[in-house]
Amino acid sequence: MGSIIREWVGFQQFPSATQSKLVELFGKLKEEGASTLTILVMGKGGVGKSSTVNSVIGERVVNVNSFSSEVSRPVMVSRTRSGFSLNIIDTPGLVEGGYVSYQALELIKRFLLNKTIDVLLYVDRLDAYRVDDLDKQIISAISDNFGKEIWRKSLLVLTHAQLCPPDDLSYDVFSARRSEAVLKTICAGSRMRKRDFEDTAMPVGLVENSGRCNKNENDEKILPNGEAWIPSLVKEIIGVATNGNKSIVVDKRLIDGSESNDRGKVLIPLILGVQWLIVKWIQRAIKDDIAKGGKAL
Amino acid sequence: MYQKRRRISLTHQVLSFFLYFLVTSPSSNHSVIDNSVRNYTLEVADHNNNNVSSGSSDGRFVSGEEDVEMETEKPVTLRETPQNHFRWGGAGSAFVDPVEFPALKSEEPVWTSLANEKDNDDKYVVGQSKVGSLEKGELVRDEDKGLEMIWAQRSVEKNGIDIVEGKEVSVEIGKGLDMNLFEKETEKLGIEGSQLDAEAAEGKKAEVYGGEAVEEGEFFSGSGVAVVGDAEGGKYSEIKGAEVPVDDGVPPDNCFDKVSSDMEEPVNLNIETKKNVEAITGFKTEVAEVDSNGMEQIETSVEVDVGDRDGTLATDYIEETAQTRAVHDVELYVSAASKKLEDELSVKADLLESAESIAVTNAEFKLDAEIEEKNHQGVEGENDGSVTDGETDAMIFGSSEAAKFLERLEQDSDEEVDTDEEGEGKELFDSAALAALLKAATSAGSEDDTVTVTSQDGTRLFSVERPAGLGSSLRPVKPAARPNRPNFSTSSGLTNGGDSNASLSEEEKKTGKVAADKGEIFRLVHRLGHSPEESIAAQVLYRLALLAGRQTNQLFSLDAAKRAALLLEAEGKDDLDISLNILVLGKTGVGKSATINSIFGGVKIRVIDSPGLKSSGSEQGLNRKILTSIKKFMKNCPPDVVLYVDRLDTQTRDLNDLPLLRSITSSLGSSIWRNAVVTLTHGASAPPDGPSGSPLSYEVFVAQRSHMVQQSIGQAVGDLRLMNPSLMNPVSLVENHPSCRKNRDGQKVLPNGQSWRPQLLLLCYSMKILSEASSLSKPQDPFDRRKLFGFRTRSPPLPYLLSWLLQSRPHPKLSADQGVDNVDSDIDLADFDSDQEEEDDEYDQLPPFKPLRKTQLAKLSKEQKKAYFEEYDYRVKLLQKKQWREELKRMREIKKKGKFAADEYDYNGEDADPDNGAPAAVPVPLPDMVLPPSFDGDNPAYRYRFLEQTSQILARPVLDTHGWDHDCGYDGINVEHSLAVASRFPAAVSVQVTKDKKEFSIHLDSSISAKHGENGSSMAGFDIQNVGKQLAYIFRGETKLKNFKANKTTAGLSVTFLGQNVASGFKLEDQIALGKRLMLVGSTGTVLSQGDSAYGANLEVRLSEADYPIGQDQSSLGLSLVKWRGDLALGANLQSQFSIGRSSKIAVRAGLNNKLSGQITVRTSSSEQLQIALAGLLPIAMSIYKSIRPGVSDNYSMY
Repeated sequence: MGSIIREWVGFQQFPSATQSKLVELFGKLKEEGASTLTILVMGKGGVGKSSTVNSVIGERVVNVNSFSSEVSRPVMVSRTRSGFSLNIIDTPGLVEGGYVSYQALELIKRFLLNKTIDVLLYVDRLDAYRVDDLDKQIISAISDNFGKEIWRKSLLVLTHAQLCPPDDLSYDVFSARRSEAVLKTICAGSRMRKRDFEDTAMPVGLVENSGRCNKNENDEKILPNGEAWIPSLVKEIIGVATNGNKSIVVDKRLIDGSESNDRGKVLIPLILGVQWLIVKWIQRAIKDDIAKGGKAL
Repeated sequence: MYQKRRRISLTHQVLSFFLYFLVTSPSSNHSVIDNSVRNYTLEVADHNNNNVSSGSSDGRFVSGEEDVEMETEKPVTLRETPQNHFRWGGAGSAFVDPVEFPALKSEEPVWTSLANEKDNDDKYVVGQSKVGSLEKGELVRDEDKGLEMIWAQRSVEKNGIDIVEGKEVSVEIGKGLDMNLFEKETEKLGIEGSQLDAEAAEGKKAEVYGGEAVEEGEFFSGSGVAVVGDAEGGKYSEIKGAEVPVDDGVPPDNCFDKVSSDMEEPVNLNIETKKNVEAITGFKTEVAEVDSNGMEQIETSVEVDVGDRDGTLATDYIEETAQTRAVHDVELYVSAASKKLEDELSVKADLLESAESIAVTNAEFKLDAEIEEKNHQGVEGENDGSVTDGETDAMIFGSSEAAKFLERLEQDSDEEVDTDEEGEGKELFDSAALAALLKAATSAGSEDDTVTVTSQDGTRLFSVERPAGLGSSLRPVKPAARPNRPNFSTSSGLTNGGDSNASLSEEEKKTGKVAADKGEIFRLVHRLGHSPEESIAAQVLYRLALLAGRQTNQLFSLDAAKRAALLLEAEGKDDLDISLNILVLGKTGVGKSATINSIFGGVKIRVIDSPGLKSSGSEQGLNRKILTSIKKFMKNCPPDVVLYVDRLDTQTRDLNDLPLLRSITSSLGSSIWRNAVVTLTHGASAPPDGPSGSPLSYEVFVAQRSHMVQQSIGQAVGDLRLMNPSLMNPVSLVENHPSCRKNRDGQKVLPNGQSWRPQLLLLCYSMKILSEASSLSKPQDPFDRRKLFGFRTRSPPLPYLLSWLLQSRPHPKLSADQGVDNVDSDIDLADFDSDQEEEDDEYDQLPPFKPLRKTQLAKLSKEQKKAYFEEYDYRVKLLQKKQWREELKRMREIKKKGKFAADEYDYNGEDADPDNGAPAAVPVPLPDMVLPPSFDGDNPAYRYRFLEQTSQILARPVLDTHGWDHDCGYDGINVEHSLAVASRFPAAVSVQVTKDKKEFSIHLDSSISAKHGENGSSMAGFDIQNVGKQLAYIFRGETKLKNFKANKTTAGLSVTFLGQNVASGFKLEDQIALGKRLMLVGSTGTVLSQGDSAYGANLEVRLSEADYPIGQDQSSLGLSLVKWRGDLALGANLQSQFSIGRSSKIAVRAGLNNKLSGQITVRTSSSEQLQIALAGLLPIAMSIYKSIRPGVSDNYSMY
């Protein structure tokens, strides 16, 4: 039911250097036998999801208004070019009124029915200095709804990358710290064991979507550290797509979501035992209380 | 039996143990708040006043990273002390998160807590960096229910008059106004109109209207429209905008290009803004034209109305608007001042002349004492009454925001220095004015920038785009419930000449204080490196001049104060003693600490930093803990200004900020937002791309972002700040980044070229000074619902006096002829005689009736019980009738022989006057009141104990059922005494005194009556009443004649002395009894005072039960009509009380007036305990539910 597949017109709009890199990257992906790539973009509201989609596609596909709340339901953008098709799914912000909005998650899940997700882009801001409990809640909500495996196929994207780090930190040190902090939260939120999370080694892509992004000599949008971010982002995406883990197939079971996970199964007999003991103890206490009571009269 | 109980107790113990175990399981959530309070007392006494910018690396003061992640667990007082080597918090790690961050967190405890601090946990050492003792400004914050601004027309207040403070001098600041708002304003003006009072001299203005008959009219503080076309504002800034003092020194390193590139851009931006300023101005000018001619017809309409009718009859409780005339003149002063600066402005000045400013609310005032700064005389002396200049209203075209703002300030502050009384219960100083000051401070006022925050053209553009027509430009906050700080910072020697010793009268003290404030402002401005002409300073000075009001002596000459200030500054002698307490609130990681670091320097401020609050809904519990500790902290060190810090470049949408703002409001009280400034950090960040793809202009970006913040605050606080712009908080921008662009004198500059730091500081200082000055001039007392009518007694409240006159009063009677066939008694003996005989012995014929005991009653079956009860009731009724008849017989004999025996009856004070159904006032000993648990010190009320019944004087406490939560309601004493003067003339005196720490109100009601033969009785009365702040002395007299058998007519007149006004009234009342049950009462009356008159008429139909004195069912329908100043108010109300079933009674009161506002009260009393108990459970259950799940219960409705 996705949107009609259209020729990737925006591709031409990229500077030639970027185009050549992208062609080469997609060629590599095609060799691996994958003719389509489906990317799911998720994250808090107002962090730049839609702008990232527009930048990667190269066209103003999704209407971006910095102040009014963005798209209210998921939108799939499909572009095909020389036999290879790219689908990017933009989703509404996951936080509403300070709480994780399960209604948004339901909406996304229902939209993704019978689709396979090759890569999940978890979007956040590079220039936010703190990570708070809300981020953790979002991550665990995603884990609950899409299963923990999705984190093996996901990439952390930090937007607003063109910033000047405060108190004379170098750009790389600042971005390293920030990504480390966010990755830590993802690890904590996704309830994966530390070891599993380490070996997923989730990559981090830096993005700057605003029109003011500096450009290098061949007109490619570059980050303050001089790296052209669109090709490197696509490289990361394709790296994750082909990192051997299987893509996430969103099927009925996942949607209904047997929420029941078997955490703490082992505790059940323990609790029963304890209860049994307590009941026994109370009965005994009552019996000898009656005995004692009888004598006193 | 005993045994069984024992067993239960054992199991009970076990269960409770079990429960106890569950409840106190160690709380799992990781408590971020470690309880040990690390006391940071950073003594910063910065003597040399080089302002220390956060980034400066002069060693003495190295700011920790502004994003330093050190979670300040406890609110901390930071004051700069040079000695301590201040390194704020941990070392340079950029990110902290609850998940502890491994490396880089060198935790060396930088600060040693002060030695003299005893217990460590929650005590904060607060000390002046210079002066030892803290200026104990015990801030009485009327946190609880002070009636805040209730804007809605329909607001209904059960009994008292709901003071709708929507004074809304809707001076739309310049272009921010969009057309539909404008229309609304005009017709609104039409509706609520303004209460023009002819006598400007006496300055009588607000009328109160209230009458028993007519349900309370809503009180609008009249709000006319003072549409101020900011025609010249745009141009003004445009001219100013040319030289943007952005030094083009060596461009900072590339990583800062983005920011710097924006800097270039704003320069051309300026040009661009000029273009759109042009466009806007152009547009504005039409607007101005439209406004001006719009003004014309408004003006004219107002003109026309003045004569016959304007504004609703429902008294416009007019917020005292200062002399518009004064504003007008002073406005000239300001525009004249600006003339000095800008010649082209003169053109505008003429424009101003022609447009004439509209005194928004009402009467044209003739400035009785002109402020000498005004450079031209032409205003007569103090109080010759004639209205001087022709135009009643002048619309103030602010030459810059200053003027507009002044007009707004004007309309709020009460300048009547000579008549000291002010409308009570009304926020006299309108913080909107103060906020306007702030707004002006942040907008185009200052010379070197285009319009920054909430720029008109910004919002103009903004409002144009937004379909919702929310044209309201961002406006400063609504009336700040200024804590009336009992002690003001004693004015330093600056009060040139005026020493403020106790002997000075209130006025001198005030003027002394104001002069001192002037001096302080000059010194502040000087310190902060501003020029006095700077917009904020000019406004504050002007405002102070106005506050000083009438004094015309030299004390207030501006230049004198300036000279004195400069002198003092030069000597650098005594330091400026006004300290500023700033409380900083905000989310984590928005740059609170960094902002504090960059604020310090140059002037003495005390900053309370608070730990970052969490925005996620689930962590509000944590926030509340932090906020309660802040609140505790605020008690001993009350903040003057609250900075709500947020980031300019984040877009919090979908109500994500709401939980945080809600918990702030709920824990610190919504009055915290009144003196709050919204501070947006990362001020120099580049605007995002607009919907059209091209980046937004800086002003639009800032305006939109502030609008979003205001909206979410509005939702959290629940006030319609977007509808009523004067509720908006002032917004100021901050940029703490070390490599932020600096102007020539090293001050950090925002993309719009404005140096933000002095602006912010001056903003805070002015807020403080103005709030003090205003609270000094008008000690604001909280709305007191106990007073019958809260209103400003400019001119006597004719309708109120009228309604007072129209009340039918029983004439006091001698005990001898109580209720006997005389003029007063409603019950006419005659008609009783007829049906008396045949019922006489009916009661005796009934078979004997043996009341059953409770146990026997239980045995009866249902029908038997019902039958028994009916029989029982019937018997009771008959018995009562019998007793009533005997009573009448007795009285008739007394009357027959009473003629000559009256004298030997001394009056035993038992004034059981049956006709108004009041039960005999048997002195019921009142149970001793138990003090409410939270009877804390600052509770204004006294406690009255029940007085012993000594003599005939009946004294009992008065119960006020509408008391506030922890108020036990007994606030007054009621003393009643009836006596017989020369044993022939009955007299009754009743005094009700309500006294608490804040105010005193008395209500005396005394009357004496004399009989003329059988059918005539005349009464003279003298009342004292609290009308607003004043006492009203009312002399009244009436005579009642019983002409036909069932008809009584009364004619009465009254003379009232209120302040210096005298109001005389006349009334005529007629009472016709139709048959036994129906009674028709009609009364008309008029009250006139100094040419102003009010006419009223009441018509009431009373229906009472057949055997009235026994059956208490009674209902009455009253229609009333009051015509006053061309305004007609109709009101109808229905009262009925009837009993249902055997044991419960219902009294219903419903009232409605022609403005479709009214009220319905249902009061039921039932003696069946079960129902009462059940009804009582509901609120208890609600509160339990609310306390268990605090988060859940507050709903997230949009508005």
